[in-house]
Amino acid sequence: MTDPILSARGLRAAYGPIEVLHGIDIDVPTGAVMAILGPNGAGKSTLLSVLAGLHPASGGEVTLAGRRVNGARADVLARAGLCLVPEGRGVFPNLTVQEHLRMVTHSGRRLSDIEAETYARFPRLAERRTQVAGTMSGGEQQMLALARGLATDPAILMLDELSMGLAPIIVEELYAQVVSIAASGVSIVVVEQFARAVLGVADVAAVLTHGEVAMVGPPAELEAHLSTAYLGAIVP
Amino acid sequence: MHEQPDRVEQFKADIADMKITDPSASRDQLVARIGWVAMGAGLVLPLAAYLMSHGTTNPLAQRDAIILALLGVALAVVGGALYLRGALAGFLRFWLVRDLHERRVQTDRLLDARSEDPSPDAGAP
Repeated sequence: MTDPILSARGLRAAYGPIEVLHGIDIDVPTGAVMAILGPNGAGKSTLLSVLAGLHPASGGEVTLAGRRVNGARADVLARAGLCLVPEGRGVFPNLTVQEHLRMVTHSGRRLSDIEAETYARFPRLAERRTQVAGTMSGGEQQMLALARGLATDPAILMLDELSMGLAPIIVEELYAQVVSIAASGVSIVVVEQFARAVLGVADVAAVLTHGEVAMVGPPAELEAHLSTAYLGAIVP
Repeated sequence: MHEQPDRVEQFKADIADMKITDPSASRDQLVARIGWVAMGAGLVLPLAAYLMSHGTTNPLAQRDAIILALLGVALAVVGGALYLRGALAGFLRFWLVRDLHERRVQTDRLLDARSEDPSPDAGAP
């Protein structure tokens, strides 16, 4: 493990008067897969939004590659290589697979190159290339969202609830891709409510409860304490 | 994937070169607040000018009061425009979020309908 490529120190965030993150400290090592786990409402998605610059931090700091980036615009961070695949996939239901991929050509890459890489990684998208995303299955939509993110050549990829609403076999297939993406050197942050989906692929994991980091460590160590942490989050 | 070995170094360089400004949402709030203050000042200034003009028989001071009152009117107009700009930006941003949310709900509805379709091409899940 090397220096963290992404860090949060004492990170706080609120929706109006309601604070949902109460001082988060996390480090994402360069080239590693970090899992952020926690029960519903723990603040996992808010944490990703703040890290991606979509939601303002009300306190603390976010550092990317050693530089404080609080207040940086989300599009500037995305252009630099911080890519968020949001919960609910964020695909456009009326656009085809090909049109989604064409959207990413703003980065200066040719559509044919993007398509070749995408279809090599996700052969199922090649079969659906002229189909509108709204009529594809949830797994195919998630593949498309992932492919679109990868086409931007990210240095850090943040995945929010990749497994949400998907069949276990599709989840397994998607996480196999995550492992292969990580092997190519991309640092990955995965947010998951259901820990077992991700613990096998993560190098390090953090458990969030009530907007605070309850535990951080290797997945194997955390797995044994997960139930306690989740129950601790429910029972006051 | 087209990960180059120096992708992380490139990322670090991009982050180091990045110009970080305040988020536009808080800028809109600031503009709206400045608008409020300017409108408030625009109301107070003519009142002060009236009291100033009424309390003296000196024509020079009364002309100053007229100028002060006109300045107040100008401040109120500019403040109103600034408030409208800030408030509209906030409203349109909210509208955009609402539109995105509705699109997502519509997508989920389509998926639900498709998952009920028993045809073999329905796919998972």
